[in-house]
Amino acid sequence: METNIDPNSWVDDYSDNLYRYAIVRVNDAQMAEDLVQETFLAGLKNLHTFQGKSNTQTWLIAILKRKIIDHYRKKSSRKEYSFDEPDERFADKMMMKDQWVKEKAPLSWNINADEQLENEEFMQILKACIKHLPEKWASCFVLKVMEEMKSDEVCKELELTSSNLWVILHRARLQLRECIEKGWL
Amino acid sequence: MEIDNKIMITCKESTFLISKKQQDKLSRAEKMKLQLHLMMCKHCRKFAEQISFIQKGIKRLRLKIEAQSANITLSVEQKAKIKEALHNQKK
Repeated sequence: METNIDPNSWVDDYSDNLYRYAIVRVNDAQMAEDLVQETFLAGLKNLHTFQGKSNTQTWLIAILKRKIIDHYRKKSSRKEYSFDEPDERFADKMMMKDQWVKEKAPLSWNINADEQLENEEFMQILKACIKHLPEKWASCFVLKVMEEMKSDEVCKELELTSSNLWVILHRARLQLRECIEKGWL
Repeated sequence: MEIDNKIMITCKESTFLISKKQQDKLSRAEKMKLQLHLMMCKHCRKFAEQISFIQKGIKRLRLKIEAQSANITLSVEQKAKIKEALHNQKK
């Protein structure tokens, strides 16, 4: 077993790659830096479990990935009123009764081509609207839609049943859609 | 939300299926009910179009963030801080 690894060279060799991996996923520079530090600390502490089966970077990324999921788990377990809001009331507020009500019905977005996706303004609004999601919803959304994790994994990590997850993702989409419509049109 | 046996679904149920479709396969019955509803409901057609647009947008956004972060590095000071923390733990 490697006992005299030099932490300095770890940081020199891997910190930038870890940092990039984290910042893409948490979208917060300070948080990404903290996660990188925690990853190295955890790596040092658990050096005995690393038996050179994979290369060092792969091993550290695996630890970091775990830390990122934990980060979202913590975020999503904070108490939030909107998650406890009864389904019916939420749907009524967001969009409709059983059918669309006139003032909530989707407007025309004029999306006829993918080139709209190159639209900088749309991207900025999308980003801002994701930021506005309640944290629990955002956590589900990031892990499932952006990270493309499997549903049962997301459920396990965030302690949700699968029908809970669908409802949350659905609400997140309803809210995103409305937010984009308000900001864009 | 459970979609029961009836053939005609409401907009509320239809939007749920549209959402579900983004990450999961619909059952044959669900597909059929949704198709039938979409034929008759222009609001839900718009909704479906927008939801899949948003989904594509999110994938695009993710790629963009990755591209923008490709050259980001930690500063020398930030690295020094991490090294110090590691040394402290190693002791």
